[in-house]
Amino acid sequence: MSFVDELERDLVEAAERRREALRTAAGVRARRRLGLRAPHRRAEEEAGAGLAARPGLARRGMRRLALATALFALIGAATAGAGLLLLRGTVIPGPALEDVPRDQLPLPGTTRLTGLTAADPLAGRPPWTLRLARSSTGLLCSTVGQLDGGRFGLVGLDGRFRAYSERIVDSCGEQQHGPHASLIGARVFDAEHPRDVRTVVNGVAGPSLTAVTLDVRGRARSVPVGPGGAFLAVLPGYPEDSGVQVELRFAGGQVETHPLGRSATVAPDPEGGQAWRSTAFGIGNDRRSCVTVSIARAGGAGTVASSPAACGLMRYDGRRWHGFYFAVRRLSGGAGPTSLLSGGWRGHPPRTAVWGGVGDEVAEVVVTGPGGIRTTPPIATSKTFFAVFPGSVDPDELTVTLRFADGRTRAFHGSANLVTRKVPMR
Amino acid sequence: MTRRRPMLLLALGAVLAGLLVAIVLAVALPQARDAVAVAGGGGDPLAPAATAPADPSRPARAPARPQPRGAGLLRLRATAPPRVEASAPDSRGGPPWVVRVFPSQRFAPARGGRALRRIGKPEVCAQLGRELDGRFGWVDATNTWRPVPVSYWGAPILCWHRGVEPQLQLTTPISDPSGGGADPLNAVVWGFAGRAATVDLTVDGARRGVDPTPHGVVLAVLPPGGRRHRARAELRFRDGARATAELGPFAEQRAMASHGGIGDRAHPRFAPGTPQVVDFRVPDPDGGLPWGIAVIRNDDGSGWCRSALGQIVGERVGFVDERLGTFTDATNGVDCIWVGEGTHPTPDRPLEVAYGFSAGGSPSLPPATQTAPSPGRVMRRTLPGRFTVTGLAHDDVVSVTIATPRDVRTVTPSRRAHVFAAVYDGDFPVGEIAVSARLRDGTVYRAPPYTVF
Repeated sequence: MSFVDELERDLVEAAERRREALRTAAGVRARRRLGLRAPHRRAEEEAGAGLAARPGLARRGMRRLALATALFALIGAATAGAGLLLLRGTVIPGPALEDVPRDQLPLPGTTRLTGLTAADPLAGRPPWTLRLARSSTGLLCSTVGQLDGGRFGLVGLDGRFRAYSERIVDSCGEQQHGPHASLIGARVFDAEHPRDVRTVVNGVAGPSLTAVTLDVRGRARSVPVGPGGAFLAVLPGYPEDSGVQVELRFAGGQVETHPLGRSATVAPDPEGGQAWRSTAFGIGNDRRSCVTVSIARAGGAGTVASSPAACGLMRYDGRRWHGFYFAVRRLSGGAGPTSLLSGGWRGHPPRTAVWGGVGDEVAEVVVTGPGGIRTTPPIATSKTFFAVFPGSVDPDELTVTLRFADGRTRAFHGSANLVTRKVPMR
Repeated sequence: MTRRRPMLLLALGAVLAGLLVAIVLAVALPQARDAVAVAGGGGDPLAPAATAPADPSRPARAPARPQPRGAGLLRLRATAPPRVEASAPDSRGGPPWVVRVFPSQRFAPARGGRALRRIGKPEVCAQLGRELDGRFGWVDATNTWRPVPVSYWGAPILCWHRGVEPQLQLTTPISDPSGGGADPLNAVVWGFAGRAATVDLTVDGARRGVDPTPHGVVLAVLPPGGRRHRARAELRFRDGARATAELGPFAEQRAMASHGGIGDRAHPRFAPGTPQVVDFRVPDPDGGLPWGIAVIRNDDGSGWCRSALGQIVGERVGFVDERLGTFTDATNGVDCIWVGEGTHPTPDRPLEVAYGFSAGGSPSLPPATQTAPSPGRVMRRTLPGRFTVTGLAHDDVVSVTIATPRDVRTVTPSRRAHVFAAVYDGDFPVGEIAVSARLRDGTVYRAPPYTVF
């Protein structure tokens, strides 16, 4: 006979005994009410003596009862755990209390969802939303997340939704009472592939905020304003990929602009891919100044497409830099870099690019070409410039025009003033 | 008569009770306490496992890691077979510590990438490792032993030209940090003692004399330091000369203190004597080891010396090599040893701010060869690497607001040394970072903005 069968038999016997005892107790109570004596006390005493004479049987019964209790607890705990998992899902834990500055620690019970939602660019993904809270020191806190069945959390890189702990906040800042944003930023959610990266532009700018406009790749896009001047918008890719800029308009007519995805050394890709950036550098005992163009968001040293360096000689007269150099090329190929200057396109789709450096006497660079191409790339503080075009653009058909501070202009076809050999300083 | 099935009733009752408990917990438990559920697993494969500490005497074994290759990566070749010159038992009962020594030559990929060209002069290298079944390897923070071939990667290594100054290093292996916390396990002092005849090590007051091997190799395995974490090596040479090497936290400051500072701008008060404390703490964006700034008070109580921002292991602040499972104490801030423009806040310029970026992962490994994202990154979709903003505020500053393209954060400088910090996942390839301070009188000071690139 198996343990379970024995246990079941014992439980049946125990239940029978209990029923008998209950019947007996009921009879005793009834007889007491009627003033009668128990008719079979003697029999009970005999039964008790019998049990006392068989201590092993009593111990075994107790043991099985204990095991039954343990079994009950085990099944109950497992069901509770599974039920909790189903009801609440898994959770992204908050940081340890002792590690969080009080200013960045939300007070328990102060978190609330704004009710604002923004659809993910990909259909079927949970919508994005904004949660607000108050910190222990009275600051305003916000957290960007997704909504899944009413739960606030995030779909991870593994595709699994996890609820956020109440202690998780993106940031807490002082609440501004004038026409200013208290909180504003572009929160980035990474992905294995750049197309799955999400930038969530969000903020809280108070009740006087009347309108929010995003400039995305040169196109204006209006964003709904929620209670308290909260707003939220979701963009695919990194902030610099769309060159996003936020414009906030307040009731008093004030306008606040936040260029969250822009910089003079970064430009969006002409075909909607990852943004590009220029990097200026010099090399040890070499008089040349050099510039490269590469994917703006490095995924690790030497892991992204990068142009060869365009190098030239600039002259410094003690006050100003003079000279100019630039490359005009179609960039393609699958190889990685073999040296610091070689670059490596790593199989990235072809692009045509103009990149180089100019002295202080150059006021503006204009690149024109077929199909109405006309762009004026900004000149960075490092005195470098660059422009990237689709790979279909023939570099030979591009014209680079330099407009000098004294009003002169010079137009070029193809690269100019590049120096490919090392020029020792002495 | 129908036979009763108490087993069925028992199971049904248990399921019912469990469901009731689950509903009550789901409604009643605040979200903040969910960390407990996650720590317990909660069915999430990425949740940190609540396992018992691994037995150091029985490490798991794994094959050697592949060696990174790539343009610009130096390669190391032994020009004679490596030999183990020093060994010491592990205080926790793990595989013994050893230092192997070999003459070496560095190479770099030639133009075109196939051939190798010789770089520099021949050197002698010493590599710290753990010996298991007669093989040289390394035990990481997960208590996994792997064999390590001759290379710059896989185990701590020092290479030098004979005749130069002694090179001693403090290597601190740590416990598994995957649960968001770690502790130092040992203090291993090792390296080349040069021409020194004897080396006296002192870690938190405990002294240990070490005799260098005939080739000048030193190895000593000590318990991890206490609150002062002071590690010092005194080298005595045969001609009677002596030298001191400070190895623990604030080593530069201690070394400077013993020399009286640098020039006429030396900090007038540096004489550290008190234990260090972590004065400002910030959580890691991925839920990894928290970040912090440690400070020590000068002996006369007149001021504080701060460390660089680093990750917290035990009560220490420094840098963690995730792949090796080792910790290195952070260097101290320049304000500890130097008084000059831009080192100490003044009433007119009440903020000193510094910006930094680290690719994260493992300094012992090129960034291009880093491994898969951590579970914390997978859950939170954070960016690789860390951008940091740290600073020192004047006593009059009550709060500091850091506005980046990511968000706006306000923090209160620490009570003791008035330091502050913010840690962001990823980098800022675009935009501007503006840091401002609200002063006690209500005015706002704006530090010069930091423009990326």
